[in-house]
Amino acid sequence: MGEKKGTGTFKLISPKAKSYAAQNGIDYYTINGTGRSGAVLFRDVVGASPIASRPANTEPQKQKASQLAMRAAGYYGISLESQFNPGYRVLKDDVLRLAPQNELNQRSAFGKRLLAANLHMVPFTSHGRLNAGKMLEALEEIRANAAGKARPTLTDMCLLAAARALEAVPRLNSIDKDGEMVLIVPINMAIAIQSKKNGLLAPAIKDIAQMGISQIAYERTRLMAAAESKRLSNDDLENASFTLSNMGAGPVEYFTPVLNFPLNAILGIGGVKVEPAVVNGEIKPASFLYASLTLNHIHLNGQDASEFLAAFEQALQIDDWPQ
Amino acid sequence: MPAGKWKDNMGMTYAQAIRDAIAEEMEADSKVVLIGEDIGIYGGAFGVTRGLWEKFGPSRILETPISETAFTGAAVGMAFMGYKPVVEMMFGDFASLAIDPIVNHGAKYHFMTAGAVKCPLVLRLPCGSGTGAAAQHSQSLESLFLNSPGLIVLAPSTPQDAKSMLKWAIQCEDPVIFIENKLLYRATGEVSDAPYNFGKAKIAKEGSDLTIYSYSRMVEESLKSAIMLDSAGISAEVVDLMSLRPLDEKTIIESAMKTSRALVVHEAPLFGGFGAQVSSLIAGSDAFYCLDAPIKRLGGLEMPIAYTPSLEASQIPTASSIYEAALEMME
Repeated sequence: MGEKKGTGTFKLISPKAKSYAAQNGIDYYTINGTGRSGAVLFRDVVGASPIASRPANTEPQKQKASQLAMRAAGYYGISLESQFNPGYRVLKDDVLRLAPQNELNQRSAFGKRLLAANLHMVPFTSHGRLNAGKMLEALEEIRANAAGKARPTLTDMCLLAAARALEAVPRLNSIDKDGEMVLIVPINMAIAIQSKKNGLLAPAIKDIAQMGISQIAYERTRLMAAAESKRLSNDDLENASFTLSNMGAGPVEYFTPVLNFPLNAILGIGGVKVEPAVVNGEIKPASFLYASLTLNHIHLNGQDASEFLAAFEQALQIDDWPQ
Repeated sequence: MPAGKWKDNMGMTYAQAIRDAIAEEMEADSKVVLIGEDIGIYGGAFGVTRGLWEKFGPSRILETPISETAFTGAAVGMAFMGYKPVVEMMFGDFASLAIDPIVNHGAKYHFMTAGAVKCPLVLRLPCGSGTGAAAQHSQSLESLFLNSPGLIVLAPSTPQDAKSMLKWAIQCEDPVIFIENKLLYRATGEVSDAPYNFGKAKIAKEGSDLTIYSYSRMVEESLKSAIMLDSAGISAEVVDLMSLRPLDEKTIIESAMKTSRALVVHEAPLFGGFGAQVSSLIAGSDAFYCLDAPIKRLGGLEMPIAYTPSLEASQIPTASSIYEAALEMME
């Protein structure tokens, strides 16, 4: 490259850059191209021209930045303009240096969003103590037979059972749209993930009703890993229709899950306990799952909560869990 | 909750918009008739003509045996004799059986008779993949008709466009190939009585860094990708072509001149696909001198649509693949 046309190779330059160079008397052979295969692009010739002769339509001047830097800036919501020298090409690491502080802002933005959403919801929570013995036996058997990396957990069983319950009570698979209730098809179940680095996230497992338990486990594992490594795509985070949050790993029995607005319902999974129960007149040990369901009372009522928890408990008693 | 309620909240569906357009034109003009398989009592394979049988009956809705060649041929003949038939192919794929009456007769007679014979016919083609209907029921065959002068080819992407464009098509004196998309049938949106501005493309979203040209369902994917691009600091313009033939050359060229980058997206396979027409238009116009990156095309893979859902989904452009292609163009 660098030689004139006709003597062998010639300089790669875009038509737009070439027109601009010709109009402004710029020798583009001396310019380092930043395009594919080193092609000289418009941004390169504009950078090379004296400031006075820059075309007016390039204002405001965009900060030069690598693709990764722009994506990182988009992710953190950082504006690259006025943060760097105009001629400097910003790299990903420059953006990451600005990120941590900005992330705090993002958290408070999340808080602000919740506050604003509060105007549009009247949440109420219903608690249920549900028979979980059959489900726990099934889980043990499934885990014993599970091959591969993603071993199904109690969360996956609850995800599948919740999907079944939503099929029975589809009203809960809905969102608030400008004050109106809009049912969603299919079931895209968001799962609350507390990632160590990135705060609370709720990516969704899409069309979960079509999945078996191992597929759900695989998808949940993928989302959890992606949440931790900041690799969740927009697609993962969009279009949720129902949320499930599991706090059962700790000492929590019941809690009051907070609605993931504009979604109308969230199911919180609390503890699993073995307790004495009366079975056929005898006192025997039995396993119970504590579930807490928060609904938006603007659209859904106590009856809905009762129906869903009943359907959820029934779904926990499945004989053949789909693999 | 009854199935209808949530739809009301979201406006009208694409299928309902088509049904309304047909019903309004049938009421306005007694020469308008429907022809196709199972479009009467059953309401059409996708329920588009549901309810019309009760309203218009067998004198206006002709349910035919399963021979696309025969009933399309009959429709072309009726159009020559002054009727305005609206033909529904059960699946757009079966249009290959109707090529002879459409291409060799419908598209030609206006020219061969010096305008004495008109062919005011609409051929409705439910196209596109994503329904698990596999190779012979998922194609996008618009290219079959685009190389036949005399045919108008329209491809609406929204309920509003579906209604106004179909009403226009039924009133039109020339044969119109009306490309519908099976996945769009349940798409919803506000629909007004605004007339269709024939031959005009629409800027679905304004932007300054690159232009995504698209039509039918891929407009939706392009708009989604534009939102993703916005978050990456790239402002994408989305042009909904709407009419493939004739093509709104002015809007296409002006947008390319404005943004300096052109990406053409369609669901049909890339090779020989319509994207080549748009690309060559841009490359052969003044917009060439404004380009800052090679023109790029995205289309379906070079193979029949697969039955397996995961393979099927991977065969055509998506918001993510459009986003990746656009990022590559910005490098």
